[in-house]
Amino acid sequence: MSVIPLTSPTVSSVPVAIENLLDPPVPDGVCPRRARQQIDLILLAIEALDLKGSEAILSMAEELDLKGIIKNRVSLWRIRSTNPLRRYSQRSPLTLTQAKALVVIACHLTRRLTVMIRELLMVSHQLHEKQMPFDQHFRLSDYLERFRAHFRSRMNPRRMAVVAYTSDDKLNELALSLLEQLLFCTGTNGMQRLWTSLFDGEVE
Amino acid sequence: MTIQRQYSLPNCTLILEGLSTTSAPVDARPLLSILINAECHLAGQAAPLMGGRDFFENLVNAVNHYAQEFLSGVHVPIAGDRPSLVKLQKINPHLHRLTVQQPADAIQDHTSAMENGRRTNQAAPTEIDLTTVQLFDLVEAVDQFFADTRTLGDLSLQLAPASKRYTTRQESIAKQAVPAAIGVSSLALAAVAFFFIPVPPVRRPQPVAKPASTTSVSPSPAPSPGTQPSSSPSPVSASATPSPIVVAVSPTPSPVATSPSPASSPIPSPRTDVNQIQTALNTPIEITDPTQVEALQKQLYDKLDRAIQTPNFDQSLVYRVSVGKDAAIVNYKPANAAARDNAKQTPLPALVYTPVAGSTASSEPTAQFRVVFKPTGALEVSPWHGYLTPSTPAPVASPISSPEIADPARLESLTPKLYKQVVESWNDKPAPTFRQDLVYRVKVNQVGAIVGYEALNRPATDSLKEIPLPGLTKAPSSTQPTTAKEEPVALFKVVFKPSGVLEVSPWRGY
Repeated sequence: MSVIPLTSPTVSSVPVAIENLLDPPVPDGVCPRRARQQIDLILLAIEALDLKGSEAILSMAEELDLKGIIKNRVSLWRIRSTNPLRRYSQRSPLTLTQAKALVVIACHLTRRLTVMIRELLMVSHQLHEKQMPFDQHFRLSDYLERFRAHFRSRMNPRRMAVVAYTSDDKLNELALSLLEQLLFCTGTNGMQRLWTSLFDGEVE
Repeated sequence: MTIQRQYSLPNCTLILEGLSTTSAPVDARPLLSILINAECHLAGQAAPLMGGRDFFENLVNAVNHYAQEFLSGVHVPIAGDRPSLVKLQKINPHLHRLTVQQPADAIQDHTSAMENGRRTNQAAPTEIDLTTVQLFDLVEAVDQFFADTRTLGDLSLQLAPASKRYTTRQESIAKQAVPAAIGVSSLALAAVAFFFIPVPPVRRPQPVAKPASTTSVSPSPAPSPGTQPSSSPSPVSASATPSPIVVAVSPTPSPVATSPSPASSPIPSPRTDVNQIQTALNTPIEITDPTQVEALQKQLYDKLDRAIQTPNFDQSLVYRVSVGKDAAIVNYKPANAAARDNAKQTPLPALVYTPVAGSTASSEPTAQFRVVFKPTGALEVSPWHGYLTPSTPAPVASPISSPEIADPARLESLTPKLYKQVVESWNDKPAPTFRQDLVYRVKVNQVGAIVGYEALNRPATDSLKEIPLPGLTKAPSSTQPTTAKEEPVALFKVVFKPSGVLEVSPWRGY
């Protein structure tokens, strides 16, 4: 008995939204550790930028016809929990298809936030040059605060990699570097660039 | 006809000029296939970066390469048979340096450059620091060029993940560094931990009359207040080594050494002990080192002496003056009514040091002095607590071997007896030559006979010849407390004044 209905062979093939992303030659066809971590952190930064970020991820999945990969909230949580830093880290692997879906969704969401991302980065640079604290700017400090709260509530504080981000300063630094990565995601080839970079140093 | 293509972003504009080889006459957007000139205008730069095909290829390659490095954090050297004219380097996480070597074809434009080409080849490269937003605009301009299929179709975006071999070495170094890092950090932690451990106070061994008290000094189970039980070495060493240092733990109301176990303390009530600790903790630290006190005393005297005005009062003005380590007058309090009323006639209000707002001057160690302005214009400065000899850190609590007479009625009857015998024999002596009060602690037995005395200030030690105490004492004169007597004694404070006045009062007050 076949699981795939014969009448709809296109549904089982790769969704249009992710077909531009090529499969890197990684062993077993699953995402390496750094990729799993990076994808989840990028989504975390989007959630810190956008109050309805987690809702937006699901609705974007629907919009891009990726519901077959990210079915619902629970399955999104399961996929994201392949991040080894998570409190309830899943041992199940992150397939390339799942990773592609998340990258595509993330890049589509960041494009909507382009203006805000640019503004926050320019402000942070100016504040840094004047040696002023980040909380001088309401939206920037709001983003940083939300990112810290998200990170602390979801990441496992016993992990060595998480221990490195105990202080507010370290977490702010991480939040800003993720914001910069989001900026690159907004670009013409941002999606491909992000996708390729996830496998840097992981292929033969 | 030249074709121009422009890719504009807020911080970067890329302008390409070239020719089309195809001769299709009516083409809305002809294919630019031969590049003549490339210009890269960066925000904040007066002159654009310019060059031919070499420069542009190098620029595109470097930008493309660095963008991936920026996203992944994996550094991969650019492969190529020639060194790139354009380089991008990370300065810090948010700043990137674009270095452009003068392109060779630009040099050829100048005839003079042809003659000494080697030197111009080594001309200083242009260095531009880009913020991440500026870098992104440069990347995006390049990406828009890549996306434009009608411009230099032979150049296309080539993206591929970097090979493992570029990271394995870095990883192994990182792994090797972990044990070393742990070692260094644990050393640092140990250093921090040791920093908080107080240096064990060095105390002079003090004579202890009863050996029983030595045995009673036991490691108290309750940790001393304010110290961490596990990390502090002082309680540990106190319990391990029954050295004289341990014996010293008791009568002095010093906050460091107090283990409030009543067994080891000769002071009967543990409550008073605790109170003493609290007052000791609350009051600012006092400078007690005799040499330091003496130096401060001189400085204070000089300071006041210089500023003193013609007296316009008929009573001695007595003040208690707190002086900091630098001899600055931190505070003063009038000690008698005349002093309170006539404070403005003294130089004290002008000399008192007003701390900067926000700073806490009270927490710094101070020395207390008694300052007396006399109607005659004379000035007296002496330590408020008298002169402390090193062997008696705190006169109130120094060990008393004999049982003490504490009955107020007895003390009241003994006071005039002592006064009478001292003042009578003092009258036999010549008129006093000392200029400061001489303060003694005098021990008197049940019948009123002087059995011992102790000089409490420097003049008191120096001017012993002028006073009758040595002659009146039954025991051999000594500044050390006599320990032989077992009979109960009463303690009195005896003050000889330069004016010839004698003051006798019970040591612990009425």
